[in-house]
Amino acid sequence: MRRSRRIPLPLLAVLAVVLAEGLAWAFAVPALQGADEGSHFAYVQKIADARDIPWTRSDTGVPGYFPGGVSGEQRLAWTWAGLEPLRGNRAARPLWTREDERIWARENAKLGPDAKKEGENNLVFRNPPLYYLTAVVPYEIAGGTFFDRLYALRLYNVALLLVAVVLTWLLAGELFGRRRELQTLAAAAVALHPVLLDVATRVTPDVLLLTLAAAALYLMTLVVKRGPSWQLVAGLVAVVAAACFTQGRALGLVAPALFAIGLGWWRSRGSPRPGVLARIPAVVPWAVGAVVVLVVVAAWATRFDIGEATGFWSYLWQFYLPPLPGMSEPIGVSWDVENVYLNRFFGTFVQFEVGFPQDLLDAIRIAIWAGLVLLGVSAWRHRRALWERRDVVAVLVVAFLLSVLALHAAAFRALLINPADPVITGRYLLMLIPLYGVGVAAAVAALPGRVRAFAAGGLLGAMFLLQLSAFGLVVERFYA
Amino acid sequence: MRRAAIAGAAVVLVLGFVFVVRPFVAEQRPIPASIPSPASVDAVDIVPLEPKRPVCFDDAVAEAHAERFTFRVAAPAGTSPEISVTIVGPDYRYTAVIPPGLQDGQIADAPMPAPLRDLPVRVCFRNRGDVPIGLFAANDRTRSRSTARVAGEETHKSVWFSFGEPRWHALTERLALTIDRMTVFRPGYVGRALLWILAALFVFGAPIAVVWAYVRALRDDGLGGAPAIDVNRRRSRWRRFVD
Repeated sequence: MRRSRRIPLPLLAVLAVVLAEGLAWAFAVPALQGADEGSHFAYVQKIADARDIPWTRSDTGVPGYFPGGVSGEQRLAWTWAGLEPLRGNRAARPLWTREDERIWARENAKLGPDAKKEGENNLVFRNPPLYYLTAVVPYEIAGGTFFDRLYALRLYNVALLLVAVVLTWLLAGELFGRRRELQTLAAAAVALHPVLLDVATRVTPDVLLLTLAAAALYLMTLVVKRGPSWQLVAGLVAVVAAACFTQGRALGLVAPALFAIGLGWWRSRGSPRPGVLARIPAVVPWAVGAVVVLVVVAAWATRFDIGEATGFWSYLWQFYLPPLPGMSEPIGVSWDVENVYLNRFFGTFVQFEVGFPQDLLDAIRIAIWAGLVLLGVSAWRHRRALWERRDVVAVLVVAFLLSVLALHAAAFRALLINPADPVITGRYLLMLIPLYGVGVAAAVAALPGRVRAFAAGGLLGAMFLLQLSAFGLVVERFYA
Repeated sequence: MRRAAIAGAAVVLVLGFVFVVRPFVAEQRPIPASIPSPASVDAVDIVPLEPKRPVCFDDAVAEAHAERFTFRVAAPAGTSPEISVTIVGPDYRYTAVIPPGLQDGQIADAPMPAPLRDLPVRVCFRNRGDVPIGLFAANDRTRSRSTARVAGEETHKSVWFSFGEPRWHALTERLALTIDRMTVFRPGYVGRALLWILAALFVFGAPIAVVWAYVRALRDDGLGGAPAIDVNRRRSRWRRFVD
């Protein structure tokens, strides 16, 4: 029978939700209120107006809030449109009258021809350039005022977010055997994630990163399911390379991609372990591979200082678990799993000055634990189906673990230089947001029949309320 | 199963709207009319307000709902003397007198007649006593465009100053005004109509669409209808519920 090429209606409905939410978030939040949004805009502007790609590997630079790091046009908007006093300042409100616009336009008209080309040595200019190069297209199409161009970049990010949701749907399809119910739940969990919508609707390369990461995860599953055809491998390599040229955090995807290609190749060859190798238990190469990866990660995290290796493992252990006897205090400020996986992944917005109240965070924590328990139950209940798709499951689990490990390694590496900045934050986990969606759907799959439908309906309602609450708190912060 | 999904969503959404959303949007809160120069985040600075040396700043906008204004006084030597505050804009001039006796760090809050429309104004403070005092100000990244001049001399500091409404409001009472305010410093296509449509789609369309998507997905999976049941087989109460 010929398969329909029509876009599934449930996916279309979820995409419509993302579009409405994305546009609402993009337009409701005043300009330059996202994390480093001014610096990211400055990067795009530098490429578009100064015809210069400012990518530098220098470790020195000025933070984005330093006036010299952005153009004269942006500096003028900081002051005359009231954007910099507003940033992270709960006592401030946007300048929201037409008179304010006229005052800004009066000053903006005085700018010289080079006002869009300035901006040097911004710390964000160390980022790889791919996102900024692609963002030049909407920037140039929009033209017009500073605000026309900035909001065009936000709309570009909303479009990228739609792609990420589609890729989540596809990924869930590979894992769950195209069960529309679970695909819809996975896509909806991503679409309704409050912090994702907040981050993705600012000018930031994180959206392209998470979209490419979603594409990489999807291609990894295809590589192990269908075998490593040259088209799939080339696609995967291209996507991972593109992600690495978008944000350095994507380096964490390299090892999972290699693992997927290796596993796919091994499976497609029918477990070729001739001669002596055939007598080695299958667990041995896995264990050797894991040890090699851990050693390499630890060496990189400690800047190749073997003496710091114990410190790295201690930091990693204490990030998630209480210290063991004899463990010393981990390096850096007190910053643990709760901060990253709960507070920052679910509950802080704009410049972190807006957050969910503690009782709501407590409720989310309970929901997460319940979800993890259900995930375990689901794995047991569907163990046969899981075993049939063990390659896909293994690739996704490895991708999650290695990506998170890479984030920790990068954080520890930075902590050795500056112990005051914990570096790892919930926003960084958004790169793995499709796995969050898949995890939510898998947890719900633990429940039987009508109970599952009732719980899924309730969960969708709760996730929508979470999304609406986040939006409401942000609107209150700026307009009440 | 479809009914169960809709029921689950309906229960949570109704409870959420009644116990979370409604109290949040109906809560009475102070909504500023406009804040030309906000309080700073990190560092507090002071603009001196000495007798016969007025402090003025320009390019503040008094929004049409402004019926009071606030600023903060620094009086380290004791209490403040009488202060006059003059607000001048096109076809608008008003002088308020703040009585003496404000403590160090206390907020001065005075009524003013609302302007007929949003007005760009100049604000001037005069110390009518003999004791020098100061005005709380920002001199860091939170410094506004309305920097203060003391007797005509630029200070590069902005005096914390805001216009307020006489009474508190619920978010729902100020919904139309909030939508209007969201169109400022936006591209031309972001008008009131677009934002109203987005607001409606977000609050009402999104929950309906996402639940519909799930129900439709159940149907696509062939799980939407009543399950095939062997009526000759005895089923427990739990199994009857689950199936």
